[in-house]
Amino acid sequence: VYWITISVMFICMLSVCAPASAQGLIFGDMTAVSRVHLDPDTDFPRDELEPHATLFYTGDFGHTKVLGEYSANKHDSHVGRAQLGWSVDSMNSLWLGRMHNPTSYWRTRYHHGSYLQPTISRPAISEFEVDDGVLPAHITGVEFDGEHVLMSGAVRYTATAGFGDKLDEDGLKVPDVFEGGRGLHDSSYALRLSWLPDPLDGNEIGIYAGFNHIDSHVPGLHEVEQALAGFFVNWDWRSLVLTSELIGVHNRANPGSDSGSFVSGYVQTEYILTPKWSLNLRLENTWSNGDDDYLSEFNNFAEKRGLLGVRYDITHNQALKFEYDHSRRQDEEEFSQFQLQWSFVFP
Amino acid sequence: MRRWRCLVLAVCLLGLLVAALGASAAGKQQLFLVIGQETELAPLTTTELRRLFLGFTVDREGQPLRPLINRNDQLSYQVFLQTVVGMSARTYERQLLSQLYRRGIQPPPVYTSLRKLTDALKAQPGTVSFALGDELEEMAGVKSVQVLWEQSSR
Repeated sequence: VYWITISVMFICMLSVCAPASAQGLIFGDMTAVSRVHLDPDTDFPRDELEPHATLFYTGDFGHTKVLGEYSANKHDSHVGRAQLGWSVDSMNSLWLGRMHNPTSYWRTRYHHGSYLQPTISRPAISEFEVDDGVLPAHITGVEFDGEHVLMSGAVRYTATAGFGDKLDEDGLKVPDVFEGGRGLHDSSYALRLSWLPDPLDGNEIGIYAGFNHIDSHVPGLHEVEQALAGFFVNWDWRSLVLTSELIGVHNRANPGSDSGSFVSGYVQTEYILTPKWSLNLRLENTWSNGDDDYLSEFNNFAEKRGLLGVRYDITHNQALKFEYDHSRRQDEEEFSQFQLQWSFVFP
Repeated sequence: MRRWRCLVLAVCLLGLLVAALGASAAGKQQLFLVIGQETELAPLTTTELRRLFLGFTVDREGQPLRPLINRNDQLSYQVFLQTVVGMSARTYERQLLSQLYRRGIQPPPVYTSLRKLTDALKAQPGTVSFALGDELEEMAGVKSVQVLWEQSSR
């Protein structure tokens, strides 16, 4: 199935000519971080300067569409998305390639574009693999997504199946887009349903569920079967935007033996003071009874965090953000950090 | 003599009335949906207009319409935002960027020159935009399809 998918993608790419319309975007950001109250023997740096860039391209060839996203920071660079899509009709599309796992509202809304995020940081449960994320964020395979108009609103749906992440001692890893030797032991499946009272604005409330076979290279943890289900809401009252997710995860490590589970969630409010200034507050928490061998592999995961931030839009494509947060990591280390970020999108 | 005075007064009053009506008509601001002179297009519903200018596909007789954003004049853009998409400039532009980034939905092209906008409307059938009455007068070969908004200056 993998090589058939790659072959079909290649043939389709050869058949496409000049796009009817195309657009590229460059997202960039520079973040300065300063941490206080760290343990004396911590492995976390006290001060950091983090540059990050994302290149994005999309081309529309009529009924065919391509979409690509490449993200790089000083630790890692990877293809975030490389998708080839067919418009089944004006409301439904079939995609092939590398895409973001739809079992996260935050990740599939902002992807790697820091400028679009109201805050500098993502909620810990929505982090990408490279930033110590605990849930697989990428799938290489097939996705069907669309909308069905119902009364004055719409039901939006996404179904995805493909190959997912691997686990090693440094955490989850995004595999290469073109990588052979895959099987059921690294497959991922996801489904998402949401209701939009007005399909043309951002208000959305929905549910998702997924199942991931995670191929593990951690000693004593050969494979993880992960089932998850979640709820999300994004509601915009013009001057106040509420975004929240709650997700339950059940992990079965070394199939047939140990299993564990945890629940994680966040509530974020964005208060728009003026067209240029906004104030953000976010509370995150993870509930676990400590029996999850899988979760215990992620020492840097922030299981509890309170955050206060402010955003100033310098121009229509540049923003300055400042935030303070207090976090407790999975290894029980607690600290506070100040972050200042300049972000932009071009053009 | 008295009859003449009455006649002159009546003519003056009539003149004032005509002038007042003229001033009222001249002060009437309207925003039009505009299209090339050669194209025929039935009026669009409020929902179709919103969908169209938010980048979603709206068909007429099997042909997709192609929206263009007129930013020649700040007033016409502000009126368009309030009456057609019902969003602030910040929200509208962020929404277009977000849709492009999330799902590859292309935003409508933006024109800051009335001459280039006129050329684009005439070049391709099914291309639509919006313009205030005084802008439309300068757009030779472009016609109004429907009134999107109007306001009297009185």
